[in-house]
Amino acid sequence: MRQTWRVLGLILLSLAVAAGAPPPAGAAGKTVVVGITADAVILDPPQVLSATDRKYAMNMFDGLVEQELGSFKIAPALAERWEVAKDGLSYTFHLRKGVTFHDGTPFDAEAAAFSLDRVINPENPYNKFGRFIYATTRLGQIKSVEAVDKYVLRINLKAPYAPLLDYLANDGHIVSPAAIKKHEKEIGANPIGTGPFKFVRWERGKRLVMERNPNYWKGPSKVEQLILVPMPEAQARLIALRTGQVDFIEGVPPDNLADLKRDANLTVAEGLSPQVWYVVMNTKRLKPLGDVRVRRALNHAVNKDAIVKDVLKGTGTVAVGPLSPLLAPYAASAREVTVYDYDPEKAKKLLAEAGYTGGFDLTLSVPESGTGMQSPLSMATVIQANLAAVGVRAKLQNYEWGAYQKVRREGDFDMAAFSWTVGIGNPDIILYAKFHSTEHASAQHPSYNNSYFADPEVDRALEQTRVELDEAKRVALYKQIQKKITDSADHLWVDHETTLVAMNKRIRNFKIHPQIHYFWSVDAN
Amino acid sequence: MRRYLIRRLLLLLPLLLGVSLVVFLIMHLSPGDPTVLMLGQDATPAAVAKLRAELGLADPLPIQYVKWVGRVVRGDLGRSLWTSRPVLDEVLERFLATLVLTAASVCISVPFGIALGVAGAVARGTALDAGLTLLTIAGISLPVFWIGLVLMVTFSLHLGWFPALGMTSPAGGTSADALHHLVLPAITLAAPSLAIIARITRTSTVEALAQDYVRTAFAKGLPRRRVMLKHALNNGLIPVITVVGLQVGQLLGGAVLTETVFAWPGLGTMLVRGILARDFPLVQGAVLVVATLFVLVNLLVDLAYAYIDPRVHHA
Repeated sequence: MRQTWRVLGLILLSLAVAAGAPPPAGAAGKTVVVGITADAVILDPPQVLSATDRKYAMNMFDGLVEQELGSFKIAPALAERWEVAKDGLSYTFHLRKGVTFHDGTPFDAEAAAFSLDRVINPENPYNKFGRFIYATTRLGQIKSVEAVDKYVLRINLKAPYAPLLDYLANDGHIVSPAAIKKHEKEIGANPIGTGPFKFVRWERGKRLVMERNPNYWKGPSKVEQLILVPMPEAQARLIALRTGQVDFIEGVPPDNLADLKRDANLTVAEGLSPQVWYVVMNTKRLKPLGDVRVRRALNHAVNKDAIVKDVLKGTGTVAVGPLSPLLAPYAASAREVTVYDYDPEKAKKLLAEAGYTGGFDLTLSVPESGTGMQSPLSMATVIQANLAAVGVRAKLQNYEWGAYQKVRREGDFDMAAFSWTVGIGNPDIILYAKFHSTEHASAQHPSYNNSYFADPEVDRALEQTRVELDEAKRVALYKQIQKKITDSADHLWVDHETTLVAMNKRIRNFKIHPQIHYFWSVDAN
Repeated sequence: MRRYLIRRLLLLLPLLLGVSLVVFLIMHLSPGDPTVLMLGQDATPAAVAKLRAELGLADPLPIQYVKWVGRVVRGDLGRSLWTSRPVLDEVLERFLATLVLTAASVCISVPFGIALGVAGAVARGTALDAGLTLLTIAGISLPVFWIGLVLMVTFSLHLGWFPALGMTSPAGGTSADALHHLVLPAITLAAPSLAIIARITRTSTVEALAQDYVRTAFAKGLPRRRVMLKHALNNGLIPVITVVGLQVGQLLGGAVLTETVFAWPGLGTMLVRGILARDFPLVQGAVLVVATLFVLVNLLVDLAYAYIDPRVHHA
């Protein structure tokens, strides 16, 4: 027992020592500490699998082209300019001179060709050390990459491919060939690029430490050290920000937004996101949902403004179609699509016309959580109440995210809540997969056309947008597609989430970007 | 004793085989496919088929299981589907953080739990006893994530005594810094165990105090302190040890909620991430390691009985 007391004393002593220890070392000097909602899995850009991985990796890399801060507009990066062949089958890039990788090796056409070839060419000796899922999807149209000259790179395509530059900016980051050869299978934990910050160390689950690249081609960042820390719990993240343990957080819960804005020590940055939150109707399972009048009625029944204002506390923009205004010029405005105003009376009239005066029963499936799903259960509850007001009795059925994917794929729902986001300014990936008639989802075909939409005109237009290199024509095609989609009313397009970050006042010049937090331009006191 | 030990260790084999089979089946038969989750919006049928083949998920389930067990027997727990790193590395990396947190919380819950329990037993029926009962019931019933957040709001946000989260300061730190970061999560994690230990200690000490030998000891004129420690508590501790063993075993599996709230990079958060991402080899490997530890800790507890209670013999 005496020993017990001794142990007790020791613990009390250590607690006292700990309490007396220096206050939590917040970011001192030119260090910026960032709280991210999850840990990274892999830091090799062509192998990243999630938006989270991108946030960790992308301050260390550049692509041939990049997205302008705050938008998806393509700007020169490691390539100063480029030309597209008349037939659209090859792109010639003129590369920036005098750029070096963080390991000191020079960046040139040879290096860029090797880096991209590793991704797209299964014969490349280093291809086997990674898993490049975008090689067959987003970058799947690339036939070969060749160094024409020391600073001239050519990408040859299998067919004209309009989104090429968009995908190169998002998924074509250039990795040091020397690092690829040195680290082989471990390249995912040893990121070496040309970006504004250099890799220092990565302790999984704890932190990724980067230091500024003094030779960055845009000029060195004012931030000397950048540290990204995984912090999964939202309230804990907020406390860490308020106590100065971190300088910057993402994933601000809507309920805390007003409080944060009132805090004199903090700044909140808001921006548009490319995400869309929607409810899809399975037109092939429940008879009433096969009738366009019923689908339009349900669209009129739901009060999207109330969802955005009351549930999301204004952290979203009411949607009129699948594309966020961030996807300008392709995103259609309210005037260019069929808009369904909140009008329960009209909904009831349409239901009566379709022969459902007494309403009907359906299930509304919804995941507990998920990337981009905002507040799925609360949002679905409002929709359920809205539908009940016009006589449609929706039963909520909720799922864990992984299991939900199976439900989606197999069409095992009447109506289901989902969200979709893109990392580029080209809507191909969302519209083709969701509305082309060859993309009907099934157990054997895990695609995304979950409403079983089929329209030969839309099919043709979608195919045309992929090969049409004239932007004005592509814009017209995409608007025509969005009009058709909204006419069919097989989705309730609810909102586009606002990208929200909060930071300490000492962080200046931060420019918000839809998906990645870039710190090159930032200054910190 | 040695035969007992060998027998118990041999029993570990069928037990682990059973555990591995159950975990394998639960993971593979529950809806959700890692390839679809990995590919996300790029989950074209061709891409899914290719990835399934690459990850070895295209084989029939019994073959996958036999292959996996074959590798485990040779000491290879496989590679994580997502990070492609050896599962053993992932588990060991996280295990250290869990071990530190567990050890710290046991250091708090056991002495404080026993002290409160004895205090309650001695002061049985008084206001102190009632207060302690209330406190321990609160410790058992309050959800740990709530306790964690309240501690964080009080001691980090308002008083500024302790950092809110993480194992060290963001840039890394000294051992004093690590100790500083350990306090709040350790107290949070200790709270429910402490409360349970206090309740059990109180009950068993009250029982022991009613025994004839205690009355005899008092009658002999032994000092109260001596009777309490030597006679009553010694015997009252036996059920407490069982509970401590079970608690330690549980904590080693990772304290999911505490780890999540405090961004503690332990096994619990890794397991949850693995389950949500359907990272089959990671979850199977981690559960196997945790199950082994759980059984070993309980074996130690059983052995400790013999030490504390001379009437217990393992043969």
